[in-house]
Amino acid sequence: MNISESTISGCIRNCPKAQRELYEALLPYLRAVAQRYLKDPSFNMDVLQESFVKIFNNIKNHDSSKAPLKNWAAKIVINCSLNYNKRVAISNVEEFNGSIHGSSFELDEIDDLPDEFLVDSLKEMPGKLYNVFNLNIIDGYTHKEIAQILNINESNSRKLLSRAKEWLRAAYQKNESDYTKIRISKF
Amino acid sequence: MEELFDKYKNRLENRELPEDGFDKEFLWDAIAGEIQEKTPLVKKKGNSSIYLLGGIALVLIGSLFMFETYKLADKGTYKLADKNKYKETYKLTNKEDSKKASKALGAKSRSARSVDNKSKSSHKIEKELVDIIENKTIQFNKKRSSQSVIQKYKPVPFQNHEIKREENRINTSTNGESSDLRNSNVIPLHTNGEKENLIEGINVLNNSIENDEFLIGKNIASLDIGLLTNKFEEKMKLLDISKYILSKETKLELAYLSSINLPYFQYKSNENKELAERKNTTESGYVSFNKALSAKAIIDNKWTLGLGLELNTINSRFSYTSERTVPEYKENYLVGVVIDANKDTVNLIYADTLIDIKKTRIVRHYNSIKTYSIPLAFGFQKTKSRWTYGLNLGPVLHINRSQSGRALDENSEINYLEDHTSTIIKLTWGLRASVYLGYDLNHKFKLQCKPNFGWHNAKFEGGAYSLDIYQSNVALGLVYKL
Repeated sequence: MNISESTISGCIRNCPKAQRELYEALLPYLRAVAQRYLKDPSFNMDVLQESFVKIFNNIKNHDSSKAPLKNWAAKIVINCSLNYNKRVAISNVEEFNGSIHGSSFELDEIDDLPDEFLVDSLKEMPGKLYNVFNLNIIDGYTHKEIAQILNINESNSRKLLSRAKEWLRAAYQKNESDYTKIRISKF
Repeated sequence: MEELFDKYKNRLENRELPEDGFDKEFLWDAIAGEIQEKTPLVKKKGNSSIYLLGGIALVLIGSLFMFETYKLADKGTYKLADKNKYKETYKLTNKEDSKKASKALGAKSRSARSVDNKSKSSHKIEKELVDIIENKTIQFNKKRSSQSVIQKYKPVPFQNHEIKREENRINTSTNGESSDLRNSNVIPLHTNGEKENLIEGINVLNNSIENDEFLIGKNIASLDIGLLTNKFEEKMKLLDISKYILSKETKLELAYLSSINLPYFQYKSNENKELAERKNTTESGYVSFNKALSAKAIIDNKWTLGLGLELNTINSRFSYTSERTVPEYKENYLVGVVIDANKDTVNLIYADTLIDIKKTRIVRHYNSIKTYSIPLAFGFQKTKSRWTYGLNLGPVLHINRSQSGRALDENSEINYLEDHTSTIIKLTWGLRASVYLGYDLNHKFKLQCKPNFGWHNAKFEGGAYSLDIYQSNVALGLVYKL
């Protein structure tokens, strides 16, 4: 992903061409971010539209010394996705009770699995665990930042992360390879 | 086990989704429409406010300058409003003379209200004044020649003087010994308003003098005195006629005007009329702000010739209807009807299903065309007191700088407008008519309001069609008189 300085300055000047360039450059990555965080994929378009509008309207406030544009844009998408998740009435609110839900697989198999499968398998985690796992492990946010994004305590964030890791470890250790193969065949 | 999390991180951290049928054009249309609706032409708004502030600052500076000048004027013995009168008059330098004359006139003023009292009292006053005049004349002649006096006081040339100041004038172009009176500070006195001799050699030329209330200012010394003799006229003419024409008859003005502009777009095409019509329905003019610097020569206080440089922005709004089909999940949706003819029953089948729904929305883009414009204007103006009004007409040369936004291209497809900044600068032309109204803040600055109406033939997009832009705008600004 190459985003030139001239593209960014063009977007600050509200130049449509530069905005289109930035859109083309960021779209594949931001789509993946939105897909990871959104519980309901039908909101994908809405989240991306809202996020890009926010990006273009606030790009003049972006400080490249604090974070690269890509990460700043991803944070907007994450926030937007989490807001949309709140709007979705989830009927099957899952509370983690120590048991393992969904798929499990072997560590060696991960390399062969498609990305979508990894995302889907992670989405089987309870919502809060999944968000913290995504934010910390995948996107590299600190617990302080996670606490701000999810409006929870830092200690709570740490607790949820350890439980998410525990969930994943359990899923891995259960070694239900047949189930994994069934899931793989879907892709 | 940490390896597991690292694997997830490595796989998902910088993951990008392939295009795989994703409708990115539709998403972009929605985004572009929304950002331009929310923040239309942010840069232009900022610029326009700067120019507006600049204009206000100029007006304030002009006003300050005006008040400062009035302050100075109060200390002196003349009114700025009657600057011409000041130029045309001679002052009494001797205060005693002024007092005497003032006293005489005061007396006359009181007496002049009666029509019949012109005999005794006025003759008495006249006598007093004639004494003053004669004394003054003798002193004056001793000191300097008439030529040096003229040079010092720089009287307004004869033509103007005769036209403008006929009312209060006393003719000194007489024979014999009274001819020297032109150099003295004579106060004209006559109460009946008729053309008759006050003293030998002094005539009131105009019947409009009805009483002595033509005195202006606080100081009686600012009364007008003619000083216009044929000889004197000849001398002045010989001095420098050409210089006089250039410096007095031709005035120069510089103006800074900021305007609010509303264009109307009219596309024309002989080859593709349908496209022109489509463009006419999808594009419409939108408000913009322009700024202009101009210089104007005023010849003989009537005719004007102006040249300017303008930064023009012509904004338009491009709107179109966008349609898309969206799959929507419906619960208990009627998906089928089974009619059993044998049993004479109708069974409705409901199911949770995905249905395609067509959604339409209006997308708007805000376009702008930027030009440098050089207007040449011929006109006519009139001045009345502090007010100036007039009209201008002339051609305008437009140098297209750039254009941005989206519009229908030659294939009726929505496309970006080509930006001309990187290509050849294109020249187009137009016509403009304007009327204006100005108000003199002081003898240097003038406020001006100038409504314009113009036509601009702009060929921007490859020549498949031409664009006539009819612009109406109202400009407001400050004029500096050189």
